[in-house]
Amino acid sequence: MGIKKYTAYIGIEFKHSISHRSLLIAKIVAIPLSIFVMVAIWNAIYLNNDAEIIGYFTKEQMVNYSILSVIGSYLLANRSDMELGRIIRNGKLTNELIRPNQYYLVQFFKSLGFRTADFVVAAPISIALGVIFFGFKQYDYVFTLMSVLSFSLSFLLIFLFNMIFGLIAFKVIDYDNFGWLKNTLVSFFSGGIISLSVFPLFFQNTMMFLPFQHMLYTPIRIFVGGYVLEQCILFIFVQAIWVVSMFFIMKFGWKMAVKNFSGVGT
Amino acid sequence: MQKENIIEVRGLKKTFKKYERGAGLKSALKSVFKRKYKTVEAVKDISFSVKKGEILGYLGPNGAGKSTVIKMLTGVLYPEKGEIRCLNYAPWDEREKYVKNIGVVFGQKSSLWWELPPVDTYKLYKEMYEISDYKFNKNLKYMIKLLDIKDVSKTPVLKLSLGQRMRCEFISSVLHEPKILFLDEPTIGLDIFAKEKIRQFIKKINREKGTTVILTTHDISDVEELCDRIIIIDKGEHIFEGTIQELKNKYVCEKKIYVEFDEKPGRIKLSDCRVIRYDAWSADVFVDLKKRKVKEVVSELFRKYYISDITISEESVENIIKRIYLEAEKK
Repeated sequence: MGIKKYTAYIGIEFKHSISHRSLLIAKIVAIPLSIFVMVAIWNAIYLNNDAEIIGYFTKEQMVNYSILSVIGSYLLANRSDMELGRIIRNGKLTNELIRPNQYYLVQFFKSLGFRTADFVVAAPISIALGVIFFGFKQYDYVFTLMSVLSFSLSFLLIFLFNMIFGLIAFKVIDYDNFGWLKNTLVSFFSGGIISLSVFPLFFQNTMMFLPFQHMLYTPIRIFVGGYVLEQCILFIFVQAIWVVSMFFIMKFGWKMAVKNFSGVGT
Repeated sequence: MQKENIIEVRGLKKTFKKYERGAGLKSALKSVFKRKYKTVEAVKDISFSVKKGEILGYLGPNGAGKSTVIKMLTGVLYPEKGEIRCLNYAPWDEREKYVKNIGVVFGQKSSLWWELPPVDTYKLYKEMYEISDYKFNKNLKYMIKLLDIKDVSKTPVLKLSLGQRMRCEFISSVLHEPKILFLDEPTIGLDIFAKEKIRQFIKKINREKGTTVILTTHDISDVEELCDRIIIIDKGEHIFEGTIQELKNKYVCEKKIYVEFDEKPGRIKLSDCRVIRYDAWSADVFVDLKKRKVKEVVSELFRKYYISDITISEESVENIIKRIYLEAEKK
């Protein structure tokens, strides 16, 4: 496949992301600020509630969940659907299709490169602040390793879901509003805003059959020790199945979309 | 020796669905619930071939179908009907392998990373096209010198002028030594110096590397200076195919003779010619080439009048092409 031609995008996108110094600084400020807000909300909820456990989580677990959900939302997010909408609209998709590579792989490695800056700069600062101010802690090495694997699958899953959803851009003039709608739904159903464990059982059971909870909720719950080992293995396996299924859906959808692409006036 | 065909196109056809809406608020609201679609035949049964090492001008007014043809040749669009073989590949079926052998410059779309110096994009393309270190360094050095951009290749693209950026775009498209180079309005908006540099560059890589060039442009001076042959397309159909000379032979029906006199000629009378302006010492005479030869008219002028100077000129290629577009529009 010639992986080097794709990995080269990690470097160039990393340079690109750090060339926007203001964006990097904004993230360094925004992530801890979001953590402070989320933790404050949960502290208030636990303080005014007699129950020590809410949605299977102790207060300590919920604080850790909140810290990781904010950091995870930033690190796992990618704008591949918005980017696709933008290049279809301004005609630059043509530039991509004349290159000897697969667009989805280019986008994937660009996402990796762009997130590398967050990973090496913004994430360590946020975790350090979490440890200092809110007692953020690691529970167990096995669960940590499993959550790293689960987070990696989440990254793939979010990327593939965005690529599939982004195919709408081939059919509409302005994709942005669809993108925002998708971001809102994904944030909610993936447990990025509130842990899914606080919702009614029926809702949680329904979510089991959809990919969203595996985008954020599953890896974080593994990290905070919310699952036993067997459950962790099962959920990671389910995540992998979603990744493989979405890969084939995306490949097929992309082929059909490009085949019908007209590129008129661009 | 007859050169081989590098591009073969047979019976190419492509239609698009276009959404139509009337003006005004009522039409806008109506279109939310019910839309009218119109099928547009962008390309109708086109056939042509291009020889190895040729520079072909692919011309046409806006919306004629030239970009659609170019996009099908580059593997971006799927044709609805017909066959394309470029370098023995079907561009849309074997896109990834095929595009490794072509280069494309879109005058209005940058392929460079906006915030980074061009040299960073070149390094990315080095990996993408699997160019060896030796070939990359040799080609880059050669092209930087040829296009005179030594100082700009390390400046972020957003700080470059249009002329500098276009020269950098060219390098990114030819670093891998493509066999076919597609140029879509490569000199649009450039000053005469930048245009000259780019034209020289195209000529040089065509001559030295044998690169086949397909050029679409509205700048006829690009065509006159570069192209061995031109194809004119309008409403999805080819309306002319041949050399510039063949275009002139077919469409130039008059030549202008500007005459200066030593003595006042009085009333000028020449058969099968139109004298559209004359004063005491000079005149513009138009010769109908279907009826008379220019040399006959010149002989007659010298026989009848005292001539001090004479200049023969023909209709510009730009005017001829404009006339062809207008004639096609009337049909």
